[in-house]
Amino acid sequence: MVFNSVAFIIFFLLTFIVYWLIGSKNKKLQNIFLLFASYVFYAWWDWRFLSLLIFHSTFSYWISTRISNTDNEKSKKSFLTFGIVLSILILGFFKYYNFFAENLNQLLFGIGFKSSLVTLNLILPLGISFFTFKILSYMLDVYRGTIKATTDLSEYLLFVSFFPQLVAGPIERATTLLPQIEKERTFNYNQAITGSKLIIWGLFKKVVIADTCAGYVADIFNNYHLYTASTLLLGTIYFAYQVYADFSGYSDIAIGVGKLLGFELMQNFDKPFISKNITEFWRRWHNSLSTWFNDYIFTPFFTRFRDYGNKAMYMGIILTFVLSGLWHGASWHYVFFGVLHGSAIVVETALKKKRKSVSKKIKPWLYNNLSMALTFSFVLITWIYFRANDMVHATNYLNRLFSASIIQMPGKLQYLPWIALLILWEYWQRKSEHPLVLKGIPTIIRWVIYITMVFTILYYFGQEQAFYYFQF
Amino acid sequence: MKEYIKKVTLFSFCIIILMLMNYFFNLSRVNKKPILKGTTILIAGDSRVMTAINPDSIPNSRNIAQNSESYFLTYHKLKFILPANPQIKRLVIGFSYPSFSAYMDRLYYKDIATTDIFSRLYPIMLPKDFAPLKVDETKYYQVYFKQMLLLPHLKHEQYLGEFTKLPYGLNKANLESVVKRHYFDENNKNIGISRTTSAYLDSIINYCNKQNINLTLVNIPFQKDYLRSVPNNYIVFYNSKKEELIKRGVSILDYSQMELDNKYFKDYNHLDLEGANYFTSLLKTEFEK
Repeated sequence: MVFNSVAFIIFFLLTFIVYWLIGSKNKKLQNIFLLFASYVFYAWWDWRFLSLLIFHSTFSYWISTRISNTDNEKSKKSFLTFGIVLSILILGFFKYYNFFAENLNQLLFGIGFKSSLVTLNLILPLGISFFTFKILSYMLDVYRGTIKATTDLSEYLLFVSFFPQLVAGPIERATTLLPQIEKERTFNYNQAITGSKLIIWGLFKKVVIADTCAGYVADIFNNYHLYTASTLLLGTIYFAYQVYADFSGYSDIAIGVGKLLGFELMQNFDKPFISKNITEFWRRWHNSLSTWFNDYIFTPFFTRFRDYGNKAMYMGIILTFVLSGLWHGASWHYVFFGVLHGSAIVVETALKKKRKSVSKKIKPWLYNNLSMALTFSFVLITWIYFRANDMVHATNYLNRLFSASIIQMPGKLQYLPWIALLILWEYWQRKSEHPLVLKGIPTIIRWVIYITMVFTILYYFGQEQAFYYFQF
Repeated sequence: MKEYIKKVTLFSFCIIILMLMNYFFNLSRVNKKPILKGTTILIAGDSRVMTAINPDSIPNSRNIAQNSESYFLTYHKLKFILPANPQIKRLVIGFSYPSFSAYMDRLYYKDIATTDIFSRLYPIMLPKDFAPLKVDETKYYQVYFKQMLLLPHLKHEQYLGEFTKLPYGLNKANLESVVKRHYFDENNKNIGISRTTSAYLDSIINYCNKQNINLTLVNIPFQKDYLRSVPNNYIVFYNSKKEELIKRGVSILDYSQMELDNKYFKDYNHLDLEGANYFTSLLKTEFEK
């Protein structure tokens, strides 16, 4: 079930009504109902994989309880290792087995051996990367003592499966979500209004901007050999905004739905395209994943090898981004995408002092705008590796992009006004909590804007394209 | 909670009122038949006709062809338009190999063209009119409600196509995909001949005979690589149908085998503007005979 479908609208309306009819005084029943709704939401996609979700979360609950109940440090570690290995095996089997088998076969063939590791016709369970990361962070947090293991199985299962963020994040931590599940939730008018506005804004970005843009992007990337370099450049800009509108739109809807049910979920995006460097970009883009990698990969790695100084830091950054690339997909072009971003951050870190001294010599507005333009250009180019079907596709696309036809008038300009609208709107509302706050505007005009938005969403509604990040 | 429900209800009420206003406005205009003033020659068919016959070069003519239009659709369009336009004396319709491919019957159910076709035809066809073909009714009503509820339209004449100028220059990149789309299914199996579309061509002929409309079927030139790729069963069926129609006295102008320079083609089965102007001049001479 996708957020931009009639099925979800009906599902959510029913869930909302029953949830609040149960009432906040019956918190246990409310949680069980939310868990049931979350499982219906997941089973709608493919009921067979619901058992995997239930098994994985129940198993991690058992492991975490064991970790929590054991005083013996060695046993704690063994349980944690067992939990992590099994979680990674589950994720690895569904997501990386074919990648591993194909590459091993090729490697062995290359050195003169015959390998017959068969590739399997596997379906990637929806949202597996997201809920596995949630489970991993929970087990690690319990082990570290950051949180106490919950003793209520239904509450834990709801933490893992909470439907607004089950299949595409944000990857909420137990430290922020579990306490909300454990406490009574009361209906709050302002929270619900903000949630409703966020849903409208998220749907607008997804249905109107991302889904319409997807057709142009697919056409330009699939037929890149037919287009001029300037059109290919436009294609990369379209892709940047497609994936931004798609994913941030999903996050906005998830946060909005959460608010309507009395939950506060974390922000996942914060105007990423105004970042002045790549480090800042990853603080603003898919923040829940970046902080996850920072807390559970980079920081432990750097702490472990801190005696090696900067070398450890640089290795940690590269390792984190290679894993982040692999998290997105089992393919070398995702790994390369990660390596490029990791390398950029290494360079930025190494040149920190130099950059500071340069910034003092140039006027701040010029330095800031130049930094923004450079960062955006880097993101655009690296995103070609993210969007391409494979490395060859990406390289061919790039070769054609850097050709003389870059000075020609690009084709496919008709979509630009939507992108411009999105940029201008977010710039206009940059200081607000979200882009539909519209402070200082008379109520009647605000309502006209909201109604126009709803009509525009309905006009473009019906394509029901899956969210881009569902594939991860 | 009460305050929230009140606000959401009021917001929904505003949306429903606006939708109803649009609906009743559109309802008053949707069934209006178009009056094609001054048109005595009507040109209909699929994208090949749409891009090949320039009505500016043929006096009193109008090209209403649209892409992915089968005889089934053309028949329903003509039944809607012709009674309101008795001045139309000649009808020119495309006639070629892909016209009889069963892929034409699959356009109304989960095809990339489905939404586009419904948004053209909702003023003149209901889902039941698509029988005996498989039709995606949900998609149809989605399109219908979008067109009727979301915006007020002064005219609902999207079923009237027009001559489309294609820019110069042959695009030779996708012969395989064009041929595949026209004659093969997703498993690369030959789709075969559509008896439905063939029957609807007969219905158009019968209808024109009854209305005393002079019907001409035209096969527009193909680029030679495409011609070589047409599966044999379509060529055999086309030739036998052509023979049968000639025996019935239907006028057929077949330019399919005509050797045309690549500069006249936009792609394998569509003429570019230069090709269209050249081809229309040939057609005009033929009509003047």
